[in-house]
Amino acid sequence: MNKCMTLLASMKVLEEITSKKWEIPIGPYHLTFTNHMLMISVASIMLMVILPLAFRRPVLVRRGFGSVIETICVFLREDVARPFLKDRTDRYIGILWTLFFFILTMNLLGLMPIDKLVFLLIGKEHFGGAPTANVWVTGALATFSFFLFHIAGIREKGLWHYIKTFTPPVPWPMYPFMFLIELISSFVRLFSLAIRLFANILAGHILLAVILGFIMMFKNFMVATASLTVTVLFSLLEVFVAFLQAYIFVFLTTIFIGFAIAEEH
Amino acid sequence: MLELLTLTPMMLAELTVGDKGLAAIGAVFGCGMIVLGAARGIGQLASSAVEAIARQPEAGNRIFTTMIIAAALIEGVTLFALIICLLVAYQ
Repeated sequence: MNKCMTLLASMKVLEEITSKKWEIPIGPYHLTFTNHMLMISVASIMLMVILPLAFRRPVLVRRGFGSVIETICVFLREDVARPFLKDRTDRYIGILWTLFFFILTMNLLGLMPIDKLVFLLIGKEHFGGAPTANVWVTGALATFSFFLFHIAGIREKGLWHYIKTFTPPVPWPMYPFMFLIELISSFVRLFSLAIRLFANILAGHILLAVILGFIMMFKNFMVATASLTVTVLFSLLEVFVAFLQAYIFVFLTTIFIGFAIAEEH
Repeated sequence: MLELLTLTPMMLAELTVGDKGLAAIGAVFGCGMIVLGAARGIGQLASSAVEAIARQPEAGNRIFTTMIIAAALIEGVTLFALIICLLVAYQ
């Protein structure tokens, strides 16, 4: 028990949000594998294993874990996608479901102390981490969403008509100006999606780290009790933020797809 | 940056501010203004939402969903500005 406590106390509190690399030499090049890449792989393998197992048999009324997933899927299809994508919901709902469950799993994996458990069991550090607390991971997801809604618009309308929707009906001298504004706005959407998800998850982890850091600063039993209570409460808030941020990402992607495939007014 | 983030409570106790004093002042003042704007915005949003639910309780679910979405969007802008504050303070 003492060994556990001293081992855990030797880890830094901000372990989860830093990205730590292993260099794997292959020939003359180095392949870099970071712990965030490992957690992304863990999240995707978990989803690829658990979700088909929950949905193996086609029954009308599901029970158990499949019922939770089905409730979330029906909610996303009826209340989020159908008001914006009216006819073409079924084309895009698969990818929106995937995006939601992937982001949710990555957010929730960041809240579990996997690196500390691995450290206790094996003694090797730097295994866990929150992938979405890395701006490159959320940037990649936002780039994926950017390509998704542009390609959706191009597929539904053809390239020339889609570019024509970038120019609202204004007098023709203003066309280049409006086109530039619409183009910049789609890049701003990319950055805002990436930064919103990244900053929410990162701010949660930094807050937890600072509150836990108070224990090392004061070295007092009362401070430790208060700090751990507040950490537990803020972790519950972080679970809510994990669900909310995944939902907001998918909701905004749906809105952007809806704008791109909208009919002319 | 990470050592600074974990040692910030200790640094507040010692109050040694070197060349980075002006950047720290700017960042902390900016952080305060950000919180002011965000809290005012989200407070106004919540007040309108509660009043709307009180007028028409049947629409409560839809109003609540809209409120949550708007709050998350405002929070996104807030945290975007806060990241810029952190970049300035710990650069």
